Amino acid sequence: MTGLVAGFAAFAIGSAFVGGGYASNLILWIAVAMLSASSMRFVLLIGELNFATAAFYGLGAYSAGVATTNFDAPFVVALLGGGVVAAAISALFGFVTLKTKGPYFLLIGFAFTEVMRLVYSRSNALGGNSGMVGIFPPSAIASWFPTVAVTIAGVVIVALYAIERSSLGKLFVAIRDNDQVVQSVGISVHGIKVTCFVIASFAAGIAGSLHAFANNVISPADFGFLLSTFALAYLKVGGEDSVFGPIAGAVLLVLLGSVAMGMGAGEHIFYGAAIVLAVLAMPKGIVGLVAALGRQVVRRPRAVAARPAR
Amino acid sequence: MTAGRVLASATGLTRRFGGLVAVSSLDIEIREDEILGLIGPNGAGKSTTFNLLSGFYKPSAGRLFFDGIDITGRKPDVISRMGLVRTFQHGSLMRSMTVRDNLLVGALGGLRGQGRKACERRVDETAALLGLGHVLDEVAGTLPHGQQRLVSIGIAFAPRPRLLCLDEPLTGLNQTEVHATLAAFREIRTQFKSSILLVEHNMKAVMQICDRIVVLHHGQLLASGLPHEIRRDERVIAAYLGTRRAE
Repeated sequence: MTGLVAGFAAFAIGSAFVGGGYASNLILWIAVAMLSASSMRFVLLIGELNFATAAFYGLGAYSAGVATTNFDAPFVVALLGGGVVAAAISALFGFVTLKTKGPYFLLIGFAFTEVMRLVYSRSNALGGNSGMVGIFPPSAIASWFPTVAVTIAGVVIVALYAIERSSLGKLFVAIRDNDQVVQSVGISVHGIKVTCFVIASFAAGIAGSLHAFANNVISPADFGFLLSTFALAYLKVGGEDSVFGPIAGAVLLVLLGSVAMGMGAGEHIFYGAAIVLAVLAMPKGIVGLVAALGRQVVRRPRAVAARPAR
Repeated sequence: MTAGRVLASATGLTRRFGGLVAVSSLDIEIREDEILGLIGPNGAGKSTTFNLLSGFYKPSAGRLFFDGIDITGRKPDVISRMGLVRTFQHGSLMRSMTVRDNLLVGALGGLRGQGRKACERRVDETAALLGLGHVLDEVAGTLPHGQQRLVSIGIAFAPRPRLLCLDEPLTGLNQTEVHATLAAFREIRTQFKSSILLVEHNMKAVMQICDRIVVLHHGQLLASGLPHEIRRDERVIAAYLGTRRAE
């Protein structure tokens, strides 16, 4: 916990010294990517792969957009509004769909994401296919918005981690392990699952808000299922077992993505190959690899002597 | 013979799976402060009865009562909060979590909203009762089979149910473990005043610990009575060993 907080503090302070330009923009997108992947990981605590992450991210972005451009709402209201709207709609969505599990839940999330994308593009009030423009952070923070984004993402990720470590978080993992036993001691499994889902969707909504302020422009195509796929890639490459996994995965893949950007047609091939290699070489992700190396270093003196001949 | 008040009962309890009648017009009573054995050959309908009592299956016909309240058709978590908690025959624990967290889940079920401190005390008390104090920080899935069984019982007893329903808790335990587990059952009954419904194949243990025994056969009530009565019952012997024994 302390490590996580210290890491984000360092990241935020460091980002303030980068100044403007491309590097600070990368930091901004890394922060957003971390948050969406952490939201997806949070639902994985109850054992479900949430492909509706993109839908709630999109709802957050559009809510922030509407609040800022149509209602001139203050930044904090628009930012939190994105999270609150996503959470409110996810409560309804989760209540209905979390009665299903596994591939069924995944497919429903996928379908919901695509339906929301169509809703935005058919809705004139939301700008149809061309989307919304002019979603700017207040001028006072505009110049160091990356630092603001890292701080906000850090606060939300630390809060998610605090919940994960609480009694409620233990119930999430218990449901993933054996939902029948949890129900048998008198706990409403469905209620706990919906709670987990709503909290994660709030985080996804905040990530969407940050996206809207970071890009200033949003359009339906930004929030398709590909966004969930990227969140899953950050999670798998970083390692889903640890809270640091989505963070490490987002840093590596967003950086690789920016390298690939200069390759023209080779971009997608390079990026795809990087994901395949990362998943094959590190089945437990970056965090798993680091942990294994750490154990190796500690054990080495004895392990060499005791290694059986095969 | 215990003559306590009736804690839970079923009347005309029936469950059909397609054409198969797994439990048929069963009447059964569990009293306060007793250990009731539910026995019968494989396929007699013991597990189905268990699932019906705890709300995991809905009865096709008949009614269920707990503490005088009709609980027919209620959800498992609702019935559990009223004070009827069951274990499962296989893998009734969270394998990836520590023993402490396993018991904590049970305690959270019984002590909703009473704070972490109360739950931690409950965890320690339950661990002490079942002799799990020294493995609290081990991951449950890595423990030997016998201790995993005890963890399952601990999870179910952590909410302090008034009726604890145990589905074959002694399977795969060695003699020492059986002995210790039976001692824990006695303490659950005497110290905590909980009743126990015990489904078990270990006849020696059932005869030793149960106040009364109910025998199921082909989904129907075959016999009920005190252990020494059941042991000598011709119908029970025939059901277990086949009819030639009765010739």
